[in-house]
Amino acid sequence: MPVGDYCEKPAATILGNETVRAAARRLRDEGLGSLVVVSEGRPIGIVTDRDLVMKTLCSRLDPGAVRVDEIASRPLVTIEQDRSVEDAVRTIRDHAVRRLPVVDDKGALVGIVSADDLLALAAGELSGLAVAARAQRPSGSGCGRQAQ
Amino acid sequence: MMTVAEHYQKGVATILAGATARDAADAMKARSVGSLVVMRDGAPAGIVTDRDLLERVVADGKDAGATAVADVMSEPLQVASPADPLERVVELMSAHGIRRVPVVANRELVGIVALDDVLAKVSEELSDLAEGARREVGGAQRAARTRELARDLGERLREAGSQIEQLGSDAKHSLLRELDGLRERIRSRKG
Repeated sequence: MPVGDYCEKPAATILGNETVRAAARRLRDEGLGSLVVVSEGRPIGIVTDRDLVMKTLCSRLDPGAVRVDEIASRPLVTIEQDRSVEDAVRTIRDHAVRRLPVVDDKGALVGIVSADDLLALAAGELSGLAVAARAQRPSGSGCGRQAQ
Repeated sequence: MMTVAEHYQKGVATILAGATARDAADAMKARSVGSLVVMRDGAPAGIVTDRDLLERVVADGKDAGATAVADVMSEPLQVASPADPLERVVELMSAHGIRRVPVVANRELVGIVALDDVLAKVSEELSDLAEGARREVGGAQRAARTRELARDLGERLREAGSQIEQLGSDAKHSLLRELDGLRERIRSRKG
């Protein structure tokens, strides 16, 4: 399955010239964990709730004065929408990221996929395996009993 | 019965109630943790997370150097005792939407139970069950036991699936890794 069919659309974004405080309010008010930072229509980085706290308070910076693009994690790891979900899992693992913005072939933001979303897929697959294992199982005893 | 005693971490990051929000951020960074147990008069009084600092300090425009941890922490604190069944702690987590529960014995903080650790344990059990079921396949005389194992496995997978929806993202991430490992093991043994 292409990751573009599975990702969440659209991804929550914020302009790079907004302040950390504005980003924090968005996360709080909308119950979000991260925002993709956009500049001139292109995704350029990402900020998480923890980033916003640590990169200002620990550095004695004023969250009302620091721009989001000053603290965003860059370069942004992305995946093209026609790549597979398995590729997305690998990318998340290889780059040790939790959220992966999905882009089109021109690099424009399409959506976002998270480790959480992929977990739901993995759990579904596991359940499928359990069902398959059960269906294959007690052929010997089951048939024997029926024959008696 | 699984109890809290076997499943808690003994080192807990703490901070005094009178420390500032900035101190809390520094401590979280230094110890690479997302939460601190807040101590008052030698006893745990609350818990403060990085998300609390985001919502109650950064978003609110409070001065982190002049805001006491006690003013932004979450309370009342939900705690467990070492003798509590692990189930009770999972219920607490689910009911209050929390991922960490400090463990208190004789009013003294002795450790913390993290949902991630509990999930790792559940995954381990799943893995054991899957392995057990695999070994039993084909042993006709033990088919009843096999069916039982498979039923257990199916139930646990379903439970895990419904619990996953309620979990925080850290816990999910950890479970994802566990489940992935389990899936790999099941696959490699099929061949």
